[in-house]
Amino acid sequence: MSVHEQFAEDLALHALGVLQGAERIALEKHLEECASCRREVEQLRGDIALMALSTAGPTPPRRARQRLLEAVAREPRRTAAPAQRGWWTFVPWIAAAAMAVGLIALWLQNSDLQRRIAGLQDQSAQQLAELQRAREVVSTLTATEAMRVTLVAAKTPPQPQGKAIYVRDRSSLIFLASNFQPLPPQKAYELWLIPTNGAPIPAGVFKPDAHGSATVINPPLPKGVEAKAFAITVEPESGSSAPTMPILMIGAGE
Amino acid sequence: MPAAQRQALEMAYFEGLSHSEISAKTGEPLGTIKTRIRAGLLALRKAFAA
Repeated sequence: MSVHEQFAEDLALHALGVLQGAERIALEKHLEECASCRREVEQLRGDIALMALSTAGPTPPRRARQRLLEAVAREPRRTAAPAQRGWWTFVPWIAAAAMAVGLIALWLQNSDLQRRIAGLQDQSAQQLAELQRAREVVSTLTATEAMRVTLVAAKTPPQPQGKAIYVRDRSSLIFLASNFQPLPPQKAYELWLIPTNGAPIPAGVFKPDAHGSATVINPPLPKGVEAKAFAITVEPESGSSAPTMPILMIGAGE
Repeated sequence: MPAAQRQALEMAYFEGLSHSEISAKTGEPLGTIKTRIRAGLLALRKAFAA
């Protein structure tokens, strides 16, 4: 106890690191043997460490902050080093250029299409007008209410009459009949195209109306047949593939 | 903490003076300085523990 008391003050000095000379040697020798004194030194060192926290430290001059900021401002600015350029940095440019080229191509195509549409519209309007006229012609020819007059020499009784208009290149045929005699049921008139070579070709089956009129327009015909004449026979209602004699009417082209 | 204790402690810790140097500086006996330093440390411990 008395030994510890003797060292108690030296322990504090030792912990502060200011114990010197023979006293320090004597204390260190004692500490080697005395665990409780070692613990005490450790504890005192802890207290001293806490004491370090109790100091506020020097207060920097008020201008210090301003001076530091000014120094930072004066510091030359480092300009960013130019980035390494790899081929991939050109990818966006290439893409943009490709898009621009594509846009121009699309614009050219678009204006061309618009011109063509305008042309087609004109053409279509013209065709529509022509079609209208053609329809009027056909409807006049085929109208059931149309007045059909066959003019013959005066004082001659009206005769059955057929008029065939044939365009070989288009295989187009229009036939108008007037003053035809009525037929018994299941019978019909059949028009024949008589070619320059070969057998007569069926060119439509028709029945006259109450006034003896009938029209055949564009019957199905083989292409480009040269016609020598047209003839009419009486056939069954469904038509025949070869004419049944006798030939009632015949006419040759001029 | 008494001013004398604080002064002794501060001189030892912040100025790194040995107890004999403190004694010479203040004119106090060596034993008194030692006692003051220890008493000061113990007082600090008490204060921190509180």
